[in-house]
Amino acid sequence: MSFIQFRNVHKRYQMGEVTIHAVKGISFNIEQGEFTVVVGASGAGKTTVLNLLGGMDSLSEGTIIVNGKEISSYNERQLTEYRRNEIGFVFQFYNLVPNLTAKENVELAAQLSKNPLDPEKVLEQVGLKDRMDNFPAQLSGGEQQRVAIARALVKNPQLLLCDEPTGALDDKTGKNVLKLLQDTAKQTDMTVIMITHNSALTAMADKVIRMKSGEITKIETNEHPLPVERIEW
Amino acid sequence: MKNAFNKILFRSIRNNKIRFLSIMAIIAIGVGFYAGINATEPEMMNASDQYYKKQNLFDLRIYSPLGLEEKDFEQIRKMKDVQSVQEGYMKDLFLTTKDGNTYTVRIYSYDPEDYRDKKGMNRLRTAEGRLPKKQGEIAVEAGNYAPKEIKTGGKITLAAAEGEQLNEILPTDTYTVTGKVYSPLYINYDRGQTTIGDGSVDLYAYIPEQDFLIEANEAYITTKKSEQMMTYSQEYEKHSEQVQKQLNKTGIQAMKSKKDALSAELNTEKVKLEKEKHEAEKKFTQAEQKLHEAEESLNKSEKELEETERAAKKKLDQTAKELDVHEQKLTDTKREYEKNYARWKKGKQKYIEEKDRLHEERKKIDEAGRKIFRTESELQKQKEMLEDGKVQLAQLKQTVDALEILISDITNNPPENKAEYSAFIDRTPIPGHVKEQLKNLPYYKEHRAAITDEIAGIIKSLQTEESVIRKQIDEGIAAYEKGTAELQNIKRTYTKGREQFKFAERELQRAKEKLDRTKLQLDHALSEIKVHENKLAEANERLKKEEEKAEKEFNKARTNLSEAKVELAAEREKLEREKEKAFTKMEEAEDQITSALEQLNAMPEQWFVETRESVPGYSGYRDDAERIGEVAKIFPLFFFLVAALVCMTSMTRMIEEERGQIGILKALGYSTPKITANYLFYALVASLTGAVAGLAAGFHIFPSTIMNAYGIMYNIPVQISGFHMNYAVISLVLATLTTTMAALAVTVKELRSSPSVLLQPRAPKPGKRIWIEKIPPLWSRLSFSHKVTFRNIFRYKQRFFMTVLGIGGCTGLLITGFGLSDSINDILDRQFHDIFLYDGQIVLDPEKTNAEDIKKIIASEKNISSYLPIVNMNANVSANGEQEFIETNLMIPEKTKSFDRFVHLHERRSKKAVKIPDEGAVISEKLARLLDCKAGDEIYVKINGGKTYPLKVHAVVENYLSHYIYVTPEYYEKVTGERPEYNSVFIKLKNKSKVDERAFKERLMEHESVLGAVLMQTVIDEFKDTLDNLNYVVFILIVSAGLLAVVVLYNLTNINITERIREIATIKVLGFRSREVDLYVYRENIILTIIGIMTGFLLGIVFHKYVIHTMEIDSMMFGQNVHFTSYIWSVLLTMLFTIVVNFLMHFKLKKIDMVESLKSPD
Repeated sequence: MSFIQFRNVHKRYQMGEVTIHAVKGISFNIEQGEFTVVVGASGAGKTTVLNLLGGMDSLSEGTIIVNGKEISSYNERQLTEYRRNEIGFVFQFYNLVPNLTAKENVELAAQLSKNPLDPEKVLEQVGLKDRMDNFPAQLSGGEQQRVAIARALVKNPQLLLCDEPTGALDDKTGKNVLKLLQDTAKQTDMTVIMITHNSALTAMADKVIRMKSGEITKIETNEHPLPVERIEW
Repeated sequence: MKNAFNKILFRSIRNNKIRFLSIMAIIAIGVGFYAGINATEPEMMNASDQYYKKQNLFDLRIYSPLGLEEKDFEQIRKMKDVQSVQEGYMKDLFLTTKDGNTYTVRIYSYDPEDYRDKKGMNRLRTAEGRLPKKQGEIAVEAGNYAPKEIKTGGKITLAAAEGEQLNEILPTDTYTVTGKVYSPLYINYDRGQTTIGDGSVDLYAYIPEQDFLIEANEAYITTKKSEQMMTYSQEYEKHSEQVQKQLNKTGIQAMKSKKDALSAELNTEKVKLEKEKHEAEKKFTQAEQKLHEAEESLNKSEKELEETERAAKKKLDQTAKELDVHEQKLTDTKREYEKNYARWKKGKQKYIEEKDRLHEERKKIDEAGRKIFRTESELQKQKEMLEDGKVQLAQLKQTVDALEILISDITNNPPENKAEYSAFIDRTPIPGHVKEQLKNLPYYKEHRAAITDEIAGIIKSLQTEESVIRKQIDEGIAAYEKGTAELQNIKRTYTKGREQFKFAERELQRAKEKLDRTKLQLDHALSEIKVHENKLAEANERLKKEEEKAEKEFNKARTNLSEAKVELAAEREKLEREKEKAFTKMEEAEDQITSALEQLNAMPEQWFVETRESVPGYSGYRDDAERIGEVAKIFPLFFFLVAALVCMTSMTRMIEEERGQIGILKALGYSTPKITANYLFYALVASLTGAVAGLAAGFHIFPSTIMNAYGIMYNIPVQISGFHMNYAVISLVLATLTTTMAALAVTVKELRSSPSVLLQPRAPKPGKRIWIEKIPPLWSRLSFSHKVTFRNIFRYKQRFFMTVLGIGGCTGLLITGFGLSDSINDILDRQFHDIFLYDGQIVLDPEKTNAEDIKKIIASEKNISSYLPIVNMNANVSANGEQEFIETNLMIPEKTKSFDRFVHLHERRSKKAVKIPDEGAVISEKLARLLDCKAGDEIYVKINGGKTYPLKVHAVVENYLSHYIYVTPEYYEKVTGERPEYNSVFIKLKNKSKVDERAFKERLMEHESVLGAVLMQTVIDEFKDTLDNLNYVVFILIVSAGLLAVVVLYNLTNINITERIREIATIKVLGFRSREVDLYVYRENIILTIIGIMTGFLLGIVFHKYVIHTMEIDSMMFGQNVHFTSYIWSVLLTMLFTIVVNFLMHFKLKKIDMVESLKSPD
């Protein structure tokens, strides 16, 4: 059984009198340790998928099974526990707590997890050993995103969800960040799902899910994903 | 285009509905409170002004105890400031209800003529019934202070005070109550003082003017200018004082002429009286003279009678004396007679004795004679017997001889037979018996010998007998011879005794003769005595009769005399009485004149010209209004400042959040002023609507609630004008300025950046290490979330200060409110429970009182358990003798030792008891503060407006009402050289809750020396009423502060959350549980609240100090401290509000969508 299973998942938003059908009955499987990229234009419904997968939003119809658990039937409290223990999340805008140093931001997440990694080691891993005690405002965007990744990783999650992690970064920095993600995934055999509008990034994925207007247009599997360094965009 | 732009504005209002509303609400509460409380004083003033104008309350009142005449009124009317004058009558009387309760009533006159054509002053409001029209009708006061038993339609009776005649004042004493009225002359419970009854007026009433028989004694005046002036205003007060001065001047002249006239009249009367007195004296002297003469003649007669009586008595006495002599003589004679008689009796006795003796002697002699005879016969007998013996003897011898012959015969010639023998014997001469004896013997011739032997034996015995007889004869002869000799002796003695007896008998006979002679003499003397005695008795009888007769005559004379005397005395008494009566009457008249003169002299030099200040409650109302004005000065301003501060920050935060929008607008090419105008407009709309709403509500709610609370005390109808330009403008300007200025400043600041910068997510505020981190042991021990909390708290300084100040402000306001209540209530509690321990005070007239009187008064009242005489006099005190003098009470307790049981003097902070020292004075705290002096300093005391003495301050004691200086009598005497005159007595009661005050006071007032009595409970109750109203105002303050606190807290928390939605969404995504999310936010709030509360403590203490300092009037000290419980309450309330607000926030936090975390920061 696949690590992640989406079965005919629908998501509808009620906006006043208008119902927005954000996800229209999608189904897909993701295996353990796969680096998956969900790609599509703005409004394609990829963020919704990520939200649903991250337990941040509830679906309207269908089934989502993660690691054998049917999270689509979870209530709010169970979802919180799910997010707390199984998910690492990397935001487009880093979302670091501005009032905490890099290390503290990581520690904040580490505190939540049952079996966290050593925050300092994780920070070392993301290459921020020397900047641990800096506040987010003292860090560059890339550095901030590394802190964010470290914050996600320190929880030792089953699943790492990344929402356009490079969206707010310049290419070079973005590449560094992506590399970090790719390497980490490989080293830890972690399942990573990244959403992006940048099709170029599909090359680095084990699996690519293409979406458009709330529907999956295509699911591809890369037998040989490229290392990030070799991708150009 | 323009529409779209405007839409932004409305949308931003709509999107920030809560923020908009909270800004509005804070502004509304702040403005409403500020303007409302501030408007209360002018509203109260205004309401009273309206009321006074509507009722046309006088501006000035003249009261003249001597009455006012038409020419006085004329003179007043002519004065240039005077608009109109209305005459009136006023008299204090006793009113008795049908239940029998008596009240002191102040009766005023009512003349419907005055009120025609909408004129007339002091218009009455009729509460029920109608106004009095004709004689015997009365309208009494309406409202809660009037006795309930007086009912419209009922009857009451009036009585005059002692020394006055009701029929000189009113034509009747029974009045029918036609209605109940409110007079503008009385606006609160105070009915003023009087000199009758228990010293205070109980109610007022109106009767028709024509009922007054006395002269008009009141004039009510309105001035021309007063119509345009506000009552209580300085302008008005100045104006009325000025007219008062003028009237005083007029009054001085009028009173002088009136007094002169009166005193002239009195003097004339006095002269007349003198003359009358003189004549009366003359008349009485004459009458007395007459009486005197009558008395003299009576005395003479009495003397004469006495002389006559004496003469008569003398004569009678002489007679009596003579009789006495006679009697004496007679008595002597009698005694002589008695003596002689006794002697005679003795003689007779002796004679009888002698006679008896002689008789005895005779008997003896006779006996002796008989004895002699007897002895002679005996002797004869003896002689005879002797003779017989001799015969016998001879016979015997013959017999013996015969017998011896017989023997021989028998022997020798023996008879042959017995016959022969008996014959033989017969023939023998022997006594028969022997013959018999022998014959009886058997005879036998052969045995003759036996007879012979027998005969021989007989012979022998006869022979023996013969010898015995012989002997006997011999003895008898001897005895006979002796007896014969003796008889011869006796015969001699007998003869001699007989001779002697015969002599004695003769002697006795002679004595008897003499005795009988004496007896005859005695009997004669006795009869003579008897005659004399009779004579004397007769004489005595005569004398007695004469005496009785004289006595009777004299008695009669004497009775006549004494009757005459009694008559005279009666006449004299009558005269005395008449004289006394006449003189008393004259004296009374004289006294009356004298006292009238004295009174006249004591009368003021001028009229009693009074302004409205004389209306009871008039100044109290002003004081109450001003007190609220004082509260309004500071408290609402703090309140408003807190509100404005919170608004300002809210505004700032909001605009800062809208930074992206500002960037877009700027990028789109909107000009800076236009964009600024957008936010200005927002601020303006929020603050203006809030302010207008606040004004609309505040101008009504606060004045009307407060005035209604005071309405219980004052008869002034609540009237709200509802608008005060000054406060409206001030608060509108302040409210809009603070918000719009904040908006302007922030917008302008933001707009300084280029649009690109604005469009980019705002550079996060750099994280910063905070000072706690520099204490590693503390920091490392903090849990993670605490670290965040602390960082957050210290990073957002603006928010920190805003929150701390906001919460602190609210806590401070609450503390101030509660503290104000404490301070106000402390006055009562401390003053009347901790300091003044006595239950009442009796005011005495020191000139009529001594220690004995006090004892007597106290003893007459069983409710009093202990007492202490004390001097309570006015004294004016100054720090250096030159500065302004402060009015104080100089207290001199008779005994310092027991004083502590009546007034507990102690230092406020240390609570240490203070004893009045032998040297130096103890002064009350507020006085010390006003004089700026402390223990050891010298103060200057002016006693009774006279001399000024320096006193050394020994200690300062806690005191809240009025000022007091306590000294010992000794120190007072030492300083002033005068002995203290005790004019008061502090008392403690046994069952103070059971004492009927009215009766108690009336009983005390019956003592001549008692001027008045006060029970502390009454003072407390009255004072409590005032305080209760003030407490009500404070309650409003507290509620308002609470309301503000809720809104401020809500607003602050709301801002806090809105600002951090992203952060909160992020931690939610990270997997924070809902409780952890709450805590993440609350922890900060709680810490800020705690810091805020602590700041609030400081603010509260400062606010409170400031407010009470501003509110305090000079003669009063508020409780200086906020009670511990008030802090607790304020903290608890703030905490409660925080909890409520946080609870509400929980739902808001829950609603935060995690998707927010994905959005770009803007």
